[in-house]
Amino acid sequence: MRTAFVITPIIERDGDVLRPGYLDKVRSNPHLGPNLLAGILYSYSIDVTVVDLVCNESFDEQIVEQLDQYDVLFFSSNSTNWPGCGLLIRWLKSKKPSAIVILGGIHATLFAEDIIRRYPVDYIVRGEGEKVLMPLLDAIRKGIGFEDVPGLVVKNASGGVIQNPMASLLSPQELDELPLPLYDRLTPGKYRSLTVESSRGCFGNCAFCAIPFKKSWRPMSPERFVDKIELLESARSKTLYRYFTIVDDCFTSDHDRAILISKIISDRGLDFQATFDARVKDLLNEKLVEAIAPFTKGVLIGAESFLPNTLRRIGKYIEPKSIEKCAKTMHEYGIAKDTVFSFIIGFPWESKRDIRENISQIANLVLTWGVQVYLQWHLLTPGSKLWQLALDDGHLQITDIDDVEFITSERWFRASTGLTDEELLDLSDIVFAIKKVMMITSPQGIDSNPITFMLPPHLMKRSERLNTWIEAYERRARPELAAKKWTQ
Amino acid sequence: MKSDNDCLQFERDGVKVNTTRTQMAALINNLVFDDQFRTRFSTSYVDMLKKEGIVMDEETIQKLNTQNLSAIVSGLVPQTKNPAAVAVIAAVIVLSTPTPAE
Repeated sequence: MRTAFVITPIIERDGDVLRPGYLDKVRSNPHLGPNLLAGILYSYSIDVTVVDLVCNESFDEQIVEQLDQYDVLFFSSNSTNWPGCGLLIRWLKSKKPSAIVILGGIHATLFAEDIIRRYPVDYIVRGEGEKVLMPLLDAIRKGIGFEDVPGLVVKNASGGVIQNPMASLLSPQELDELPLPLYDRLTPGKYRSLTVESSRGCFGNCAFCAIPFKKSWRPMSPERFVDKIELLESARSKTLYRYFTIVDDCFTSDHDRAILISKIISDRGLDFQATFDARVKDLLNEKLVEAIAPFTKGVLIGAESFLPNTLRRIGKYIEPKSIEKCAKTMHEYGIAKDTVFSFIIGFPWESKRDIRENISQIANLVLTWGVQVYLQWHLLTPGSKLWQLALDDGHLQITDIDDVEFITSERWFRASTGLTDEELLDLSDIVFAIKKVMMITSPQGIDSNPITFMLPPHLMKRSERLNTWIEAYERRARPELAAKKWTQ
Repeated sequence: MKSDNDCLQFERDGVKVNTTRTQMAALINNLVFDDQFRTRFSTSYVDMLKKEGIVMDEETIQKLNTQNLSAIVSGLVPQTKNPAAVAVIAAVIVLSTPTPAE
């Protein structure tokens, strides 16, 4: 039985052609989940391969030929890549109906029954997959025992859907005992960094987020995590910049643990640099910041907003002043330039006036402490509380997620925010003006770009609307430039 | 925020910048809350530089005006390579002077 894990990219249209796009156009690190699960099958001497379609030039039916040699194919979906995943599964099944298709991931966990009714998927696995893989393959081989496979969702002979209870979440000890991800076949030079995890789950319960295992954080032991870092040296050498991307939701939440990890890395004299996510509250602890600073290639801090009402409504219980204090701490320990604060603007309840106030404080954070900011428009995450509200109000349907580019569509944006196009463009104009000032006054040069911000994606797609805006902006600065049209 | 950190003094490719973060904060505050000021900034920063003897080429201005748009299309952080772009540093000499709200 030949098996393969297929990593499907987020796709977008390029004229009549589909290509990897959005976050997967130039992805910096490989997806961890499929490589990790493949590592488990490999440890049981199962014939397994990872087919990574991310960063490919194109996405079309020819891909099916790459998959023809496998008997069992595992797909993983996180909603943003679901349109590509769904398409690929349909192409595959129409050309090779005997192929066994198994789907997992967050999207499959959230929408299993809907998917199995509408797509030619043989089995769906809900929840964490590590404990499910071998029992499922065993049941497929024998043709019996499916009722004992945890998390399995299948259709019965009469078309009804059967859902088995999910497997228990991996314990810290079980996380320690997991084999290494199957990175040995990683294409050299394809990615900038190597993806690892040191813990799983999240303490938080944010309204905009859809991770399925909230308030269920489980850590790997610090020693075992560092052991794995060392064992992944040959895989890391295949990356362009040789740093690690730690994908934990809560890497720094247990301060003593994060400090201990830093100490072990230091004691072993490892050449270790990593990017990771962190919380404002955690990074108020100076001992923690001092310990992790030497290993910090980049840290993304989910501040989300300076607006107290927004912080309360999304369930992010931090004080706005603690964001400022956090930035100050990062500055004092010399890692402000490697620190990116993430902010979200345009929640459904936010007015233009609210957002102006937010932008003002965000700009001053950058100016005062030299940190970077990732400023993004609110886009509903499938499965989140806010998405569920939009669904209940009839603004969206589950089937919207089937559409290529659904996440950047006008319909999706309209359901995600309450602002008019004029308000969106006016607020964008403010951010662009601030960015311009930041760029022209940076000692690092005009390439320095401390605020990452993009126009609302649905406006990017309307070239006529966009040209009107650009021309108005440029004509004011230099009339002769107005003749140049923006073409996508 | 007044501190030793407040000064922004440096020279890049022969262009001197001498301002403070306090002045910058005042400028940004005006850009956010004063639409008329922001319009004036958008319409006249090229001319203001020109008066200072700094002339930007069309490519530089276009990069400044559309760099966000380029970013999403290319999927990359924009990497402006045009050396002439550094001349716009001096904009702050003019622009960071706080302007009374209208």
